[in-house]
Amino acid sequence: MTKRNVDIAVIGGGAAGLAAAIKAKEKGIENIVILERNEELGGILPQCIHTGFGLRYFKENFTGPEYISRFIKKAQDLQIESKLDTMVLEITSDKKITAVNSVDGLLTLQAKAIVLAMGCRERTRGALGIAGTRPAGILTAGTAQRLMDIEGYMPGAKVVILGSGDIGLIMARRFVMEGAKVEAVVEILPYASGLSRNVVQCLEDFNIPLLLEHTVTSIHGADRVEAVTVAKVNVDWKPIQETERTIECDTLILSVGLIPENELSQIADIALDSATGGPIINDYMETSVQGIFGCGNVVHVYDLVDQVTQAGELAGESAARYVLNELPTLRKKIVLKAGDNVKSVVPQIISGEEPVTLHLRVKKPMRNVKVKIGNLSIPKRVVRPPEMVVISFTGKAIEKLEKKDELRVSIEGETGP
Amino acid sequence: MSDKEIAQKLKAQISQDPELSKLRLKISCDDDIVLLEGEAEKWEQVVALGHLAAGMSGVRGVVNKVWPKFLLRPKKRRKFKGKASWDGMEVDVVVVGAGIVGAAIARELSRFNVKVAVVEKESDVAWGQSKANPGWVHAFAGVDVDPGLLKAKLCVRGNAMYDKLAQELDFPFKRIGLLAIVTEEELLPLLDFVEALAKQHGVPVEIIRDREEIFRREPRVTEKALAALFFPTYGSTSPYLVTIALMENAVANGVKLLLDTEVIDVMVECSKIKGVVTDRGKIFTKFLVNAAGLYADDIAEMAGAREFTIHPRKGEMLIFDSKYSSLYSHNLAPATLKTDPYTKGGGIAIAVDGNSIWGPNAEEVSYKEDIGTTSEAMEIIWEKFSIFVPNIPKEAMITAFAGLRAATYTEDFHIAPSQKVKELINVAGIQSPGTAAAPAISEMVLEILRKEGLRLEENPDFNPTRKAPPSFHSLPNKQREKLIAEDPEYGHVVCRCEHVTEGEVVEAIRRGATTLDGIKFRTRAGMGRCQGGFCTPHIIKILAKKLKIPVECVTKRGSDSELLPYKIKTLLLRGDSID
Amino acid sequence: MKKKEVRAITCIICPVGCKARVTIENGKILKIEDVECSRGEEYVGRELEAPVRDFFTTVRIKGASTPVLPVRSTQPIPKDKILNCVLELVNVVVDAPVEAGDVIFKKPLGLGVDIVATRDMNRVKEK
Repeated sequence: MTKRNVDIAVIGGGAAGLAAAIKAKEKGIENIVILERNEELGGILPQCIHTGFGLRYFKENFTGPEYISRFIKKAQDLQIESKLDTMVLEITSDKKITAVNSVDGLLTLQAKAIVLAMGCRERTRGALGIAGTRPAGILTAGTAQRLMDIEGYMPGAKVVILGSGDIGLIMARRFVMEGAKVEAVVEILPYASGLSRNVVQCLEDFNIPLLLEHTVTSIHGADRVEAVTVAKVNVDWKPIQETERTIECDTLILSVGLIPENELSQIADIALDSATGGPIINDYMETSVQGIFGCGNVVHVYDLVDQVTQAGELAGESAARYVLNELPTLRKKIVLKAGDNVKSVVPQIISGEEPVTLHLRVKKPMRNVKVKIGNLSIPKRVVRPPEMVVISFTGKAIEKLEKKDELRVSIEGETGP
Repeated sequence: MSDKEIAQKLKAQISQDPELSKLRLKISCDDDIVLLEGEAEKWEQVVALGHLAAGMSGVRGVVNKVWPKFLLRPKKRRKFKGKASWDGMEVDVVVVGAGIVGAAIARELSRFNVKVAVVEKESDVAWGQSKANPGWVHAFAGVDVDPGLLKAKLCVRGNAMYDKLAQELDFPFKRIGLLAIVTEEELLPLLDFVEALAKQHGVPVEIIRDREEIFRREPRVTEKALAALFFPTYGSTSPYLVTIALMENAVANGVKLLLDTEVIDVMVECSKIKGVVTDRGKIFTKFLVNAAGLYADDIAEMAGAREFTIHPRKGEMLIFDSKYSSLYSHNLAPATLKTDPYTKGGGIAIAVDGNSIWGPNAEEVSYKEDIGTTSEAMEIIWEKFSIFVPNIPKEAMITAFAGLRAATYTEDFHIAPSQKVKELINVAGIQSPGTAAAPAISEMVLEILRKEGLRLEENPDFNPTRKAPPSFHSLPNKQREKLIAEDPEYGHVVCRCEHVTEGEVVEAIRRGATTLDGIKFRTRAGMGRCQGGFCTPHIIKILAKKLKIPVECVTKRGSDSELLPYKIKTLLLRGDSID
Repeated sequence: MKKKEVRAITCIICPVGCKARVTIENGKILKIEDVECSRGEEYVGRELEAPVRDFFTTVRIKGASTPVLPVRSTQPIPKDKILNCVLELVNVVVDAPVEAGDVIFKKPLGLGVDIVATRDMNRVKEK
């Protein structure tokens, strides 16, 4: 069994992990290793062949592969070690990591600091409890994307997509452009859950019907999907039986939610936020375990990879400072609690001493809002659940924040899309 | 009663029923087998007629050909095979069906110098009922079941055989025990009576009246528990792993397993079995063991010897995340007065793989392939069982699945040589407690075969031991290292949720898996929280590589279930979809 | 004859997604309302007259570790040419190795753009 000491172990070599490793190396940490379960670095980006990446970070309009290759190259130039096809099996709160691959066999790493960057997984048909048969042809959108745009195979020719989140919308366009027919995108909410730009570019451009306030109630087909039954839902999301109709198809794609992948965090007894599914972190992206940091989608699901990169950089910098014994212990810990119309807020704990950027997810769309954090109030024109609300506090602004043990973060305004 | 008396009495009973009396029926009885023909209005009436007939004293079996007027008779799924032919094969025994019963019988036969072929229409073993049940190894058939019934006797006998079997065949088995929780006050004064009924089956049972004792044994069970009945000999296993283990051992001892092979006719000459006609040629045999589950009545019909009809009864089940199962240490079930005569009511099973399985419910269906789940049943099962395990939230549900019980109208096992064709041994109607009974069933079938003239000369090379393939996840680190050193493929984890390695997937293929589901049932890859989201692309590639087939031909469970039917650009090149 | 209509267009330039109201008379834009910024106004105007889109897809590649190569157009192309462009590229099979930026197809459909690779793909030995 290979045993090693490392300064920083980064679990996950996607956008967040790469940014963290690069930043830590730039801050002078030599002994860094990235542990990646796939056969190449990049995380989800290599399979996101569409544009829209890097508009903020690079002021360019890149595809996923173009965006991430810049970080992969930088990591290579900085000679940051990475282990591919490597699965982390376990981590402990004293930062011992057990991983495995075919070349090294079982690996035990004792790290001074760990950066969690494992990303997220997709909600499944089983978890939703969709009734019906269990034939071939039911896939989550991310898996379909990998199969189509990396492995080079189509799961079917006639598709229904459940969920109008961004991944579902992106895949609707991909299916059409690869010669399949998309019969409908089915969404339970009265509005699309993805960005409006994707509704335009992926559905409207291709005349794909968007069935709002609908859901899939049943799947048919013995060996292969043959059809799905859809129905309109009432205000309680319960299907209205009289509206049921069948759509013939051979593939059902599910785009019904992302869940931060925190199996490892749980094993290490890291405190998780039930609202996000990810670890509770502070201004430094540090979790409840000293020296273990979290960044990217494993903390909560971001809208833009540019934001993930920034989060990764902050985590990498913090991890480096921690290893160099330069990370200040926070004198104050203000716990931010989600209030009216706030689903989640990250970071969940702030010091009130440092500039900080808060990321909020709202429950309902509102306009002409005031985001209230303790005694501070920030106006915003519109807030929508699909779009994360970003609030940056400079050093001066944060000084004005009342320093209580707990502050509520809430949103007041007019309801409506 | 004579055949005529049985028929008359049945007609009289039917005429007293307001609904059934209106139906146009033809009722006859021959050699204690009732034959029902005619038209019904709905399926419930068909089942009701079958049960009424089975309830007549002296009836051996019910052949029920009554069908609802407007219900389409579904076509049986015929799969295209296009594979090698077995035509002309000659054996001593053909076993139809590679479920747990067929596999157990094949393994018993392999102790002797007998040429055996197991014929299975699916692409893998255990794909009928044997994979679609929660894995209870029942201690007994139930308090409301007559201990004299065949299923009751075989259940108790089979249950006792499991420890030795699990050791020989290296499959997971745990004597987990069942706590039947009493929450209804009206049941409290009846507990001694219930205990006596259980004892009639010959099973150990303990009444726990001290609530503190219940919580001591099961700290997180519902506060509503007033008392409990404890059955220590209840077991939990994985019925498909048992089937796989039995079949591997049978094959290692000389049995031929013919998958993707469907019996389409039975050759009978002068009331003697000559052989079977399959979709891959004729196989000649002296004896035919009919362990065809849901289709056992069709097989018997092909031999001109139908003595029963299978009426499928669907059972749906929910699977809950293993991280909650560790909160409980016994199987749990409601002890209730509200019993259904045709189901034990289900419960919460702690599966050996760690997940917990709730259910099953029971619903009569007309179609033998109707294994779709329904949202109604999911709700019913959740409502029924969640009160017993307050710590398990609804979000912990990973998935739902369904199976069909192959029930005869007598609701008992039908294990006997057919009267018309003696070498046809029917092993039919094996519903719950089939898993527990399987080892005892196979013993009984061997005895029947011996009596009917099968020469059983001991096979000196018979090896009763079979070793399961290594499971990376369950090995301690030292053994994991050893495994990887011998074969680096065991270092490549392809299933994130269950930590299944490429080495295990390759070994499963070596042992006979040819489909994604085959890999899933043997290795657990795809059974975890992400339900195959990460591992599916990996496994498809490994299957294609090892089976030397194009990726487009890799299936979920055999022909017509291809997972990735189109190579990229094929649809565009076809030119018919883009407008 | 004067024909005046008001069309709703969602701007796709940034996540706000302003719902623009465009008044058109006889095919000419009279005014654009409810748009926050000039980039948005520019997009909305162009969307009505000559809508363009980024173009990206995959092409087949031989000799690399996976069988598809992601590609994109160097500049956006007319929206109504997207599917034609897809068909134009369908027979392309590239040989590895390839570098990001390599031109895979020049001026498809006579449009003033090239199709380039968006990632490196090394040549690997046949397993």
